[in-house]
Amino acid sequence: MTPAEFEQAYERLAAALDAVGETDETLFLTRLALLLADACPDLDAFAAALDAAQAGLAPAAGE
Amino acid sequence: MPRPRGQTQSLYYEYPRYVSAPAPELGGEASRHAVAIVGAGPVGLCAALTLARHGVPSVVLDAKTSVGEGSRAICIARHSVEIFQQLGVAGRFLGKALPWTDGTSYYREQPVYRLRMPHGPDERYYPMYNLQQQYIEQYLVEAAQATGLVDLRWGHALDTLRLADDTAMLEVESPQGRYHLRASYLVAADGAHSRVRHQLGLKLAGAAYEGRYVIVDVQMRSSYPTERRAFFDPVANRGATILVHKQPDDIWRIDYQLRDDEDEQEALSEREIRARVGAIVAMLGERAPWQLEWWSLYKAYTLCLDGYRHGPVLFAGDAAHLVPIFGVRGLNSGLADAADLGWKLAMQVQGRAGPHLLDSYTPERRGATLDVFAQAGRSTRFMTPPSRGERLVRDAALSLAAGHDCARRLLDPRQSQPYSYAASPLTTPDDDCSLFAGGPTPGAALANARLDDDTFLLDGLGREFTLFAFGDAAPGDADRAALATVARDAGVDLELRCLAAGTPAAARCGVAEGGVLLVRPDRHVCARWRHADVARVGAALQRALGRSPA
Repeated sequence: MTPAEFEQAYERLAAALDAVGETDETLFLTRLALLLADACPDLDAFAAALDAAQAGLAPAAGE
Repeated sequence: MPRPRGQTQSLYYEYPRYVSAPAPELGGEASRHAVAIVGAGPVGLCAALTLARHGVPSVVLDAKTSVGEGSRAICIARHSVEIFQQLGVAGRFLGKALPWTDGTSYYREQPVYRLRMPHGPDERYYPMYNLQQQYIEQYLVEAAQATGLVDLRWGHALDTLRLADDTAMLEVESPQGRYHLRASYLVAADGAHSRVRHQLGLKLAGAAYEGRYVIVDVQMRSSYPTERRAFFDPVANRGATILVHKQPDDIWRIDYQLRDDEDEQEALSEREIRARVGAIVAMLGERAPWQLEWWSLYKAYTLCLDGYRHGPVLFAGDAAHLVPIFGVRGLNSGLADAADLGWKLAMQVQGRAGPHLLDSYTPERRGATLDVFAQAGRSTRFMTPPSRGERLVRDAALSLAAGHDCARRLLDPRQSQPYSYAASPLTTPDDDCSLFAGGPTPGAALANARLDDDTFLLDGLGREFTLFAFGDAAPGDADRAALATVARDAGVDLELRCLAAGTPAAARCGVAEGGVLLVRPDRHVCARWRHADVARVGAALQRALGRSPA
């Protein structure tokens, strides 16, 4: 994906989030992640994206 | 809400007091001026100076008797300095302004993006200079006074305007009394609250953004270099943004965004401003004492007129368009308006313009405005996301920016660049663009390429049209005589500059192996060829003078 296309992806994602609305936001993003997992060439690519997305976020409070 | 100081009191700048003189019209002189300009801000003055450069006198009206009482731009882009160079005033600016190339964007406490504007040893000017608007105006006023062609009327306010028989009929209020003034052309450079626009019943159309910024000038000693600093979600303004720029005379511009729940009145109280600025100064790690110089409230708009020409009236700068500050396009696009308008109006007044020349002002400069809206609109949405979705994506991008190029690139503030008049009716498209390896395409501004230790391409720009001929494309004696004839037929001066091919300058112009660029007075390329054909040069000149229908 070119930088210009990535920028369009950014804008479309923002527009889609606004269209879906706050109530279904988490469900929408999780569905999107699953569909993008299916579009990944292999599991490693998806696992790397998962790790990168988690990096820097505080872990959930302990079980 | 009392300010600590009046609008023209300053910790560091002595505001000039210009004398308000009685208008000749008050003595019964019923003269008709070729050009009247309303507004002695940077745009009106730049228009007056451009007209004067072409030998056209103008009368400039301004309600105030000093400088810098309106907006407070601070960033002058390289392409504006090139305009100042043509007006002979660049040296004055370079002696005072602070040049810069870089910037840093922070997310929370971490630097996540480094801005590096294109710059190198082959550039004459830096990509950006910071200078307070009152200096910009003062230098332009002094240059205008020196021309002997600009009748600056301080304290003279436009009251009513009507158009009759293609003449602008102005009623002007001055300290010495009211008078009528007639002008064949009127340049409306009277800012965001343009009286001319209101008098003609015209409205700006477009979008307003929700985000609000308090913009503050602070006097503070600091050795921090001149660069753009942008802070997203910083400790001194959680959930919002801050911009910091250095100006001459130890002045710092701090723009901080108000959160949605903050009250404007309260935010603009001196006590609140001192508390906010104190926190920001502490966050910046500065320890020197600081003082408040000036503050105001800012909101972003992308608004413009449908047309920039209304009969004899031509709108320029904020009178024609309001653009967001992000990307520094307000002042810079206004100066480009004046540079475009100035030579066209001069040709028109002198009877040398074709029937379509003045009408090309709207497509060229409104086209530039719409391009600014697209670029600055994106920057504005990134700085102040207008919806929950935009905010979520922006915050996600910021949090990924440190480790991921794809997200980091989104932080580019898209600083002002000159607009290309590629689609202008004045521009002759390439016959075959494959003959050129890059370089300015027809409509684009000529690159100010280095020629040798001390000279650059734009030093050779003529007052009217210029033909830059590289290498084997330089015309022989017979062609030179024929070129002089086509220029005379077109009614303009055509300077010929012959330069070597195979040089870095030729390569930057896309004509490393030789070629010819025909350049307008405002340094935009209006046509180019691999070889100069006199008839084609003549046709392109006629077209650039508005003698071909759009």
